[in-house]
Amino acid sequence: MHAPNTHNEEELQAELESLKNDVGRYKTLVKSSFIVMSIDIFELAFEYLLFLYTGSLVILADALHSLGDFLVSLSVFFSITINRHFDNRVAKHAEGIVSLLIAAFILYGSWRLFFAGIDSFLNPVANDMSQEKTVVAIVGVTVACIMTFLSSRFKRKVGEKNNSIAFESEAAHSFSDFLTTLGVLFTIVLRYFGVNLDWIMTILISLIIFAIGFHLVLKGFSYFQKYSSTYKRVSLFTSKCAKLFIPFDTHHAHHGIERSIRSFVSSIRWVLLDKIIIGLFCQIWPLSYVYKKLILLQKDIHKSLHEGIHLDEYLFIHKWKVVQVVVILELLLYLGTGFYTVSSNETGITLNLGKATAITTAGFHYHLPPPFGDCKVINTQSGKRVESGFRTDWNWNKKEPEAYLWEYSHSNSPYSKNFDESVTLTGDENLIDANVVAYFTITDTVQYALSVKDPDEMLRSLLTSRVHETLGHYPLDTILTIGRGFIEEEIKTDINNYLSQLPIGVTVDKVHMQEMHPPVDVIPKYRGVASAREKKSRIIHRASAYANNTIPRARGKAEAEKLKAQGFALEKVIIAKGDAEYFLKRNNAFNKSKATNKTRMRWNAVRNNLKGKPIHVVPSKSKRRVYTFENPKR
Amino acid sequence: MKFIHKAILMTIVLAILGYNFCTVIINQGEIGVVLNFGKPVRFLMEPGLFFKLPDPLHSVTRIDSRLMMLQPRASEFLTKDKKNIIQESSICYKIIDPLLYLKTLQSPEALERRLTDMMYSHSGQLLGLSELSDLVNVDKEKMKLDAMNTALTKELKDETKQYGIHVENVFIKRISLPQQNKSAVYERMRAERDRIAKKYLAEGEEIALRIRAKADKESREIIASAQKESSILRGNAEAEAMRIYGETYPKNPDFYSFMKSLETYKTIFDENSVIILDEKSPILKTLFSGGK
Repeated sequence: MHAPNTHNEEELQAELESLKNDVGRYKTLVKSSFIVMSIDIFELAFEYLLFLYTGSLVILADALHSLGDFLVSLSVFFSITINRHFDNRVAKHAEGIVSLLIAAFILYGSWRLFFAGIDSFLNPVANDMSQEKTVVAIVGVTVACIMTFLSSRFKRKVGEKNNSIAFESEAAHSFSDFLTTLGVLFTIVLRYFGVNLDWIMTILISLIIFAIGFHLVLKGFSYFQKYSSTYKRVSLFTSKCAKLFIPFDTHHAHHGIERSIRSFVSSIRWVLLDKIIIGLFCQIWPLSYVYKKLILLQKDIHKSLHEGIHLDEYLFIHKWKVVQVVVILELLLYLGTGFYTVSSNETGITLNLGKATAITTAGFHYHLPPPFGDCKVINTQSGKRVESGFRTDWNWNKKEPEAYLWEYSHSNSPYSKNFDESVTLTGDENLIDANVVAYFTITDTVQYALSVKDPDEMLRSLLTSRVHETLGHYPLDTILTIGRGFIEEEIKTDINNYLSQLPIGVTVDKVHMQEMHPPVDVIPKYRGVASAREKKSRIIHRASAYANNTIPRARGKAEAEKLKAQGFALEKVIIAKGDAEYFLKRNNAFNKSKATNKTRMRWNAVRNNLKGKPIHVVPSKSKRRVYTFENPKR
Repeated sequence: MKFIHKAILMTIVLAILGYNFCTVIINQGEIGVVLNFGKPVRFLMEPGLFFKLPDPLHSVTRIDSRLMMLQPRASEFLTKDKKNIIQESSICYKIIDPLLYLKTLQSPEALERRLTDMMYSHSGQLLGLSELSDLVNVDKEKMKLDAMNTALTKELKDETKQYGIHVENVFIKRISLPQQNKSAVYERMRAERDRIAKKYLAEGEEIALRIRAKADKESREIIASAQKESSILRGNAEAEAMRIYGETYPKNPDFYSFMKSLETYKTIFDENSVIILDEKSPILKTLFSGGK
């Protein structure tokens, strides 16, 4: 029935031809097809519901895979019936169109799924599935696994009975579907233990669905006479490509792999990982060659292992044992959901049947599995804090400003302001912008976690109240300058007093005034005061500079004046003394020969003074005569 | 299917059904009320697993009995001294009597509405009786906020008893001013800062003027005293010189005057002088008469 996966197109065509004649066999096959398709639909619906409940991408992928398989089955069923009722040419065109439509649908699905898988790899969501849901998913996928397994077995039986190649190859396909679903189960079990590999499985399944769609496109074209040969050529080419890529293709490798698989399977009988991987590979290359190898391999291994019994037959014979093992495993997994871990900075509370039965510290602990039990793990590290007046964005990863100035608007920092909370009245009826942090420790974990709704918010409210009350009896300048230390202490004492009446299970260790400043509107004027202070000292300094400039100069001037006077005095006296000496000496000499000296000196004077000067001699007879002379040099 | 398998399967199915329909788990922090077609028949006050009749007969409502906080929106009030203030408070309460609660309020929304109304009413009354100086005051003794909190707690505790609610604590979270009054306060704060700034500037000027004047005074004093000293020095020197001259010259006054006259010639005649001599002047006479 699942034609695309067999390479024996001619055999299949022959079978279809023969069906036209054998009515009884035809009816049996149609009936069986209906059963198989209804199983597919059921599985599809089942897995889709499971996806809606758990939200697991890989389950959705598996559901889409089922849908793809179902649509392929539908197309084959369509071809069986149409071949019977219509003439060859019309039937072939109709088949081709149906195949292409279905292929388009499948390709679209695989495309979406592939990118969903890539997306979940690039943006990994933290384990968003609760353990409860994981267990439900495990149970659900187990059921899907069993259904696929049964469907594969059913198909093989029908194929064997009616001697239908289509059904036999469909059985092989279903078996590898079963292995794929097992892979999904494996992924989800890994998830239970905290390993998230959904994306790999999702991408693999999307590739499988793509392969199905691609093959259907080729097949759809082959129904039109023109493209029939192209289809055959492409099929041949891909099968040759597959031979290059799949290692157990060569005879030699076949033996090596077979041996290793044999030892692997015999050592761990229930681990089907190798087959899951082979199954997945076979699905991506939906080629009869690989299928045949798979079936051969399977038969080969299990013949030697279980005296000629197929794996599916073996499982079917021991079905109750399998069911028991599965049920026990799943029960254990369910019970395992009760384990929880507490890290060193946390405290856990074990809730059994709604009651807090134990307070647990760091380590591995157990509560009854849900819905009977639960746990609450709270962060009790000593650095827990509440903020009043602002909120911190702990996920801030952009650049912080150089410095937090008073008027900083905080639009560009991890802190966001809450002015309603922060602006408060001081004792002297001024307004202040107060941002306070309180660090607290949890003293009563049960009280904190279970008896109070939103204790942090309550503490924040109380802190705000205490800050406003305390700042209400201090003047603004005290708060801004000298008061910070003791006001913090006072708020702390006050808040702890209140907490003794309001049991929320915490004590405040430390209150910090993170930012205290006048409201933004008056900050410029505050800065103005500081500037005025600076200006004051500037004026004083200038005056001092003047004084420093004037007094030393005056001192210098005074000193100079004094020295000048001293010089003058010395000069005067010395000259006088000199003059006196000179006079006395000359007088002595003069006195020795008075007359001669007098004449000599007089004539010397006349000579010296009249020498070189123009001399005019005037007659003395004339009486009043006045001569004026012009200075010849002027 | 063996009998044992059937039995196990049946037991599992029955257990799941029984668990779902006939038991209820009450968690810590909640109260369960078992309702028989809407009529409360049993109160599950403690946490744990309880049995009940299947669902249509007995249904269970859960009431949150944790300590909760309600913060009615901030509201504007007028104090006794006619000042507008904005007040916001928090009420910490919990439900202790589910029967009363269900009878009177039914839902958390109704409860919150009722508490809010009470809160506004009581804080309005209290604030109407107090002045702004009771709320903020530099003197801690005159502050009445704590007393108001206690009073509010007591009032609300009494009044909510009938609803099955226990009010643990009420406190005024914040007191603030309406925007308009805030602006006025800002204006005043700015003026105050201006005052301080001006004071600083004036003080600076004062000191500066004093320093300058003092410097001027000092420098004048220094110069004047130096001038005084130098005058004295000069005077002394002149006196000394005069004394010396006075002692020396009188020894031969004739010679002194003779010498002075000769010296005086030297100073009177310079190279531009033109000499005019009478033909009978002694100089010429002596010169031409051969020195006689």
